[in-house]
Amino acid sequence: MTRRRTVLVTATFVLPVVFSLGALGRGRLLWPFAHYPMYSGLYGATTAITRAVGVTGDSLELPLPVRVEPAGLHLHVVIENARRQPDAPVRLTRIATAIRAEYERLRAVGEIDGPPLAAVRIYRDTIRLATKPHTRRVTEITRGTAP
Amino acid sequence: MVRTFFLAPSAPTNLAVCRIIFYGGLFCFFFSYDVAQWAYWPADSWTPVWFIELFGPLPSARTLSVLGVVWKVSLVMGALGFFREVSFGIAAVLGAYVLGLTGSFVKHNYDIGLPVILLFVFWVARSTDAISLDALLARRRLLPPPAPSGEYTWPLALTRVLLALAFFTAGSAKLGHSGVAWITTDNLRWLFMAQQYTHTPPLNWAASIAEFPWLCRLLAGGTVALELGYPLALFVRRLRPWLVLGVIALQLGIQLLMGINYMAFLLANVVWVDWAALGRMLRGKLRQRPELNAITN
Repeated sequence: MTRRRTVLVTATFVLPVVFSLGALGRGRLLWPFAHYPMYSGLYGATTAITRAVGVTGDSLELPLPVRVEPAGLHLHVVIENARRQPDAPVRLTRIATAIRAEYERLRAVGEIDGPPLAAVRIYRDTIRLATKPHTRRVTEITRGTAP
Repeated sequence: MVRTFFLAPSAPTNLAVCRIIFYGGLFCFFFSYDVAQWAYWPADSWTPVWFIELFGPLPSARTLSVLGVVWKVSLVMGALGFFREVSFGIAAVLGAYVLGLTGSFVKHNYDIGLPVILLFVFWVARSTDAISLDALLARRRLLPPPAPSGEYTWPLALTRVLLALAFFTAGSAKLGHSGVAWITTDNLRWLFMAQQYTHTPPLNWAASIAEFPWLCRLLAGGTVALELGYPLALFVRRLRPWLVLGVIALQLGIQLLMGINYMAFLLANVVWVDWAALGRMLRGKLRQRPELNAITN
């Protein structure tokens, strides 16, 4: 191994280990080195989910294809983050409007089937897991129409 | 001991097979990943990781689409082992970008960190010295076959260390945030029930398992024990198969019961298998079967 190669190889195996230990020690993300906190908190007997539904011109609600929402959990986190901002109502409306626009874009290029939507509503469902059957309380968070 | 662990000479076969499986696996896993989707997300949710910020504002959907295609092509070239210096570099840098995007919209994405790191490791490593188009071209140029070297050991050893750190960190995070209550309370039981609503797991057994609180606590304890104990696989040969298979089973279980996909992370576990020894064993068994030899001849 040449000297240059030795330096490169040494750096390649020391730096990832050091940064991984750094993420562990500091308890924070040093992208791409993570502290892997997924599901490390304590979960209680209540959970919440956020879902977006399409609303047709006849006020009929229908579920949106998964493709419209890049990842369901993303929507939940994005919505919760937006709700914490000072301009929450504006941000939430923008998110719902963007989801509707994405649905119409995919429909226009033939990648999904479905009727045109007049609006998208976003709901937050709070589900009590300790009861049998589980009870659900639905709250409308926001709605978005054509810009 | 460190020198032996990282730099003991070995043949290039294991590294080559791991390369093929890793790049091929990433290609299959991310084949339907539409990078352009991020162009349609609301600007409010744009929270780029530092690497993505280096490249300025988010490009157009068309540009993102092209980047995605180029990246996927580079993964195929990685699996084939062609033109390592360039194609692996493209796979690493573009991979960091397109995968970094998945964690740049409010929500972090912890399971792509290790694959991103490994793309850089394989780029630096001499991972195309065997079972590759580069190796074929080298033979045609009458270059000698590669001799055993520490160059073929350190990438696999490093991956094992990073895997051990990742799982140990995950286990530490659980105890650090929640203490033993993560194991001793109904925590996992509620999590199993909640996942049926927040995700779409392939199997709905988690809800049935949640009916047995004692079983949930046992699984919780087993999970933390496996994660914290995983580094022992680096040093204790007898425990290695149990720990590695245990963690693979854990991740598959999470995927099937909770709908959380760690497939990209799971690929890294190929580094634990002695592929060269496996190949020798299979060839030995074939030689013992004259009827198979007659067919293959």
